[in-house]
Amino acid sequence: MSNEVNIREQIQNYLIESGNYENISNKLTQRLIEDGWVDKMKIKIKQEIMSNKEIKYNELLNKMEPEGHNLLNEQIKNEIINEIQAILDEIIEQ
Amino acid sequence: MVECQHLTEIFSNNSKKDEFLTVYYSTKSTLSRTSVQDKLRYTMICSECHQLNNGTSFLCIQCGNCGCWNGSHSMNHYKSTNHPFGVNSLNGLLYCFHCNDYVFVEELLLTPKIQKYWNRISNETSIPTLTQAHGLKGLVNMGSTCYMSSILQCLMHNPLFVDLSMKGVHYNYCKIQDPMKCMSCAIDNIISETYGNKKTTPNEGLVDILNCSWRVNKNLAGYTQQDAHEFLQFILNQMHNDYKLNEIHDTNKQEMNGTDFKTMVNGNSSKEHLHLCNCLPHTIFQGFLKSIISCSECKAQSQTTIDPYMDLSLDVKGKSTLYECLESFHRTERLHDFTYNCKKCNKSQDANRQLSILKLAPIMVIQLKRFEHLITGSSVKINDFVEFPLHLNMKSFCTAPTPDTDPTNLNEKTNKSTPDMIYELTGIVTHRGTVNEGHYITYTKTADGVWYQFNDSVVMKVPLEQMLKEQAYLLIYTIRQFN
Repeated sequence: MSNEVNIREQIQNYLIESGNYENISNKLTQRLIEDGWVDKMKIKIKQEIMSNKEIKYNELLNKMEPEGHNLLNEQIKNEIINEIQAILDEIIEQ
Repeated sequence: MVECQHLTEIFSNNSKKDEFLTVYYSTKSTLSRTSVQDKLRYTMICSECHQLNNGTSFLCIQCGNCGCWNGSHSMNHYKSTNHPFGVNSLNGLLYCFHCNDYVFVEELLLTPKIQKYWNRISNETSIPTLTQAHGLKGLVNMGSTCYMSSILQCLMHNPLFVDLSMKGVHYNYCKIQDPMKCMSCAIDNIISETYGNKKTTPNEGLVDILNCSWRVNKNLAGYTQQDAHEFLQFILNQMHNDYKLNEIHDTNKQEMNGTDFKTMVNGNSSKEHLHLCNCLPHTIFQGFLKSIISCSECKAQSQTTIDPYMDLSLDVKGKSTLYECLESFHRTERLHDFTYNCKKCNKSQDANRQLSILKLAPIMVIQLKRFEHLITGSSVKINDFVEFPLHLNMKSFCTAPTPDTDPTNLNEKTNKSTPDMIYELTGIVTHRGTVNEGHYITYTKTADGVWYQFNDSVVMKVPLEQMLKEQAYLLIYTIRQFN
């Protein structure tokens, strides 16, 4: 169990220091913007707030998070996962 | 955002309030100066589970603990220590774990410098109404001034433009300080009239701009219709001149901002030092185009010229989407009436020319050439609908600054090395009518993503789909993301 945590921390550090985390994060943001996902989510969230003005942040988040997952284009998801996979393959021994 | 009792309680006691604000301000200021890399290393790693970016990370105001959202460690921290306030480490907003919501009081918007003058500020200023905050104010048509008001609305809803105006970039240095004589002062004025509480005579802003325009060019007195695109160029030119007039303090800055571009001239590499002007119009709108002339047979490059541009004019004949217009603009074309002596082939050949973008500006203005001037002397208007996207990736129309030696591989290489440049549509100007009699209407987006139609004095909210169907003449794209 603690070995798992240790490996995860090492991977995390590698991703940060190598700049890969930032790169993939930026790429994901870009794809989501291009796809129109960010704009669609903004509209949905606004509609939700308009219909329930008293709603609190955590309730809103709980409601909207699954919607966000639903709206996500499978292609983008796979593309990013493959990118992460490729990087991890390079540094992890099987 | 709600009003939080806990916050109100702290703020009712002056010393507690000062202590709280000091920590909040310094947290926010540190966050704003932290590099992305450092944020990943320090402010986005949970103190409890050590995971990076496990949902939003909150920094505790009272003890500096960093808690993640997804692992509930930020919530657990509150439960075990009763520290309710966390600062979102990405955007600096204040969250209360007792109220379960982001919370707000006016003082949170300040910086320590402004805090000193808070008493005076709270007496002499007021929070704007929603219409004021979004600048939703029409401009009365004073004859045939819709070409002016359509451009002014575009500029007034361009966040970069408004931001620089409100920062006093011109105001701080202007020696004239008179909106009736100085165009940049007039622009500052109309912006504060639209967004603020300033008490002015009705339409003072537009009248001042008319005045300044007419002084320079008698045609712009407002009696006759002019071309909106030309008016945009006119205003930006005036603002550049105003900058030059007041420029003396900035000579040091200018030297440092010159950029070197390697250019291939006749096969020899030579450095061309391109001075980038620091004036508002140039920093916002200016880009550079590269024109490469090469031999159509052996593909050897000979003449490469770099020209600045403030907007891109695209042909629309026979095109149905904006991408098609841009592709046609960027496509290598064969020149037939151009005598070209190729040194490699050692004879006269036809030349190929390609235009590509060397440097993009933060705001990109695209003009669709809808007014065609015929050889007969008359002009016609091309009314074909051209579809335009909400997001535009300019990557494929650009080239990297230093072309590699093999010209045949130019396109391939540049596609790998040029980054994605995503632009977001933030405004359009439409023209309805004929060449001689027409009407300009502007559509722009406010900060919260809502589209409005500005038709002289009438401002109306419009659905996105309606705006997309309009026959655009000018398109304004703002940079959104680049990697």
